[in-house]
Amino acid sequence: MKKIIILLALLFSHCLFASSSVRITDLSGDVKVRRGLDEHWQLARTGMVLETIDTILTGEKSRVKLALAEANNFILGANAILDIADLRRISRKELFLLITSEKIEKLPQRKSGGQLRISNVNVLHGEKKDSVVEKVTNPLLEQAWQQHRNGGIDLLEQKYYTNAIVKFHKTLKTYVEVKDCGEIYYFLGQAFERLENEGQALEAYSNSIKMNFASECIDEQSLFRREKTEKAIMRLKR
Amino acid sequence: MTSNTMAQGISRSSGLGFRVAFWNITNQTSRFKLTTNSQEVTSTVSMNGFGSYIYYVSRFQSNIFFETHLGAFAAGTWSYNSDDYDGVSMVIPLLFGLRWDLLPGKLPTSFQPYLTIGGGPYWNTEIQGKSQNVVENEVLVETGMRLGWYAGGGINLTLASWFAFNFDVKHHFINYEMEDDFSGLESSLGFVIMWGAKKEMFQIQNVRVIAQDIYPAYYQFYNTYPIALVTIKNTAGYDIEVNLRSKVQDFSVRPKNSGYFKIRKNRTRDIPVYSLLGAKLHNVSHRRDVVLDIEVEGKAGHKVKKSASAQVTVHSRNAWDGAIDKLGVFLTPEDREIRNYTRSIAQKSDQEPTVQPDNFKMAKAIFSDLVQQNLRYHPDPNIPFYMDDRVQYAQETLERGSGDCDDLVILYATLLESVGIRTAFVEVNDPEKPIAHVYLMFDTGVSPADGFRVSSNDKRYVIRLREGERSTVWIPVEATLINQGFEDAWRSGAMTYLQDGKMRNGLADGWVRIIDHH
Repeated sequence: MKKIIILLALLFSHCLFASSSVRITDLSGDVKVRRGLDEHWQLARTGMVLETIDTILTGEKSRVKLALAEANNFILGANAILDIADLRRISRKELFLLITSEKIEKLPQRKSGGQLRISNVNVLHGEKKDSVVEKVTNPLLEQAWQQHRNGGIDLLEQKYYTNAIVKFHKTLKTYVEVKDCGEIYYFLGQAFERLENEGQALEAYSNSIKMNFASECIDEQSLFRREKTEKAIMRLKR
Repeated sequence: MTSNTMAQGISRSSGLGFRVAFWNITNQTSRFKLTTNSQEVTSTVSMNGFGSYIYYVSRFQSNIFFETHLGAFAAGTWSYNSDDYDGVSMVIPLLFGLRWDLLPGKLPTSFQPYLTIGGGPYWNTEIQGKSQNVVENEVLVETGMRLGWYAGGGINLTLASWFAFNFDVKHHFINYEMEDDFSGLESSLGFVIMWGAKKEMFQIQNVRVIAQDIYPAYYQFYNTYPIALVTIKNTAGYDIEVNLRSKVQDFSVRPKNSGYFKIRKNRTRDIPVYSLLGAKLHNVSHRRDVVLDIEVEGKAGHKVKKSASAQVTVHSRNAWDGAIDKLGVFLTPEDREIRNYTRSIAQKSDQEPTVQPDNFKMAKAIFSDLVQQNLRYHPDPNIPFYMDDRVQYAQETLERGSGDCDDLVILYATLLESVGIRTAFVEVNDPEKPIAHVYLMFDTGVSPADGFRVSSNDKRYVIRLREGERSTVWIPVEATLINQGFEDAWRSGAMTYLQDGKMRNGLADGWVRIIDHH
């Protein structure tokens, strides 16, 4: 009897487990999976079950098809990275809370009359100058940014608008150093526009235009995107 | 003479007085006439308007009193061997009126001039008689009662709160239909004995304790945050200034003055009570109740002092009210022992240049050293009817070799802060769990683009952007895994942050909070 109960419990827990996970149903090219907090990637294979905390990565000319709950599929295109958590259902309310909480976190701590901290120093001194070894730059920075951007675009194109917004926000926060001529903001504007959140869309497009006017943004793609952004702003203002 | 009798006139609520008075009720001069001739001696004595009052006064409001007078005055002419009529006139006034003390009590003088007005019935009796001969006498008696009124003034000389001399002048307005009109000036001199409540400058209406519980760890907080609010009503009838002096028995180094607050007449004001708490506060090992003594000093020409008290609870030096915002006060990175400890770790740690940031390497070395100290997780004791949490200072945890989650967080954060690594607490107040949890994260100082120097998996760190600063990579660490090593503690902290903060929306919903103390 005890064995049956344990078996049922395991079966039930497996059902719960599976319901919150996704499965690889098809893949082509170089597709890798990273489990949870692991440092290393492993090759993905068809039928592999991925958990919410896992991450999936596709190489050049690669793609992977993921089966989600409720018979939905998601296709991750080439040179893209996606946390499985990025596919969870995010309501508009949750999105609003996420964006607001990030804004709140940026705010300085409240200074009340009864604060405990005693501030009597205007400037703190004692910074250590970086050594040569400290000035290591990430050789894959640009590539990692592209992978996140592509993952976001895939979410946007497959109508995961709220998820795309979260993804683009994270990309902006992580890759501050990357000069993208407002590309992420442009896609962020598109996602907000599809959600009919015109105020946020206009703000994102405006940020995109500001960054697009930088001196290095003279390539054909940037100019084309600037034109499309300006049209979008005109459209929203009407 | 005590200061609180100054310029008070009737300084208490009631008074009973006696005055001797002169009132020329018959409009004639007092005189004695003696005539002699060879046959007879005739004399005439005229006395005019002497009498007395007893009176009662009672405070109506501020400087205004009700007063009641009962008096008796008599005037007469008596003749011997004269053809003149003998006559006696008497007036008995029963008067009700109001008295207004002119000077505000704040003037430092014991003289109090006043004005009075009132009225009432005046009973009058006139008796006139003449002896015609031995058997024939003619007597005329006339009585009557008329209403009249008076106006006047006077002055009180207060010698004690219960005794004053009094000089009073009144003009009576009475129009008798009888032969004489008694209207005229009356003056009197006497004394008054007083009793009842003294006139108060202010009332202490309420003492509201705000900081019922005093936590030694937050001692800086009480220097700028009021322990109590005292509600004071100005009852003086003029503007006053009030200073509060407070002292927590056994713990205040000296009384703390609030400074003078102005209170307008008849207004009520809440005055904050602050306290200077001394070093003894840090030696409290057990919670105890103490008395908060408050002395209120009112000032307006003279000073009046009153006192009040309240009870507060002083908790032990390790007590914490559970407010995560205040947990940082237990950090003691400047302690000499702590700095010596981390300095020795820094000297032992790997000095080889690697791609890992310095902060990260140092944090790892400190944690590894703590693992070697064989520190253990140990829960706080349950104290009956006492819900406070206890937090050990870093030195105490090192000495005892154990602590619960907040003790170990304080220990590790203190050690990191002592070498200049910024830390933040992460509070998880999971609605599905009965007890809250706290772990910490530290700042590696590297930008998100350099996050790969810490880990190739960005789920293992947190990118934090703070106002006016650049974004940096922070490492979450579960301090309770002090016996398992840095890698496990980091992994557990990162996983908790990912699951609670991100996937379960704890950060957005507010049950996961990051508390900076910089």
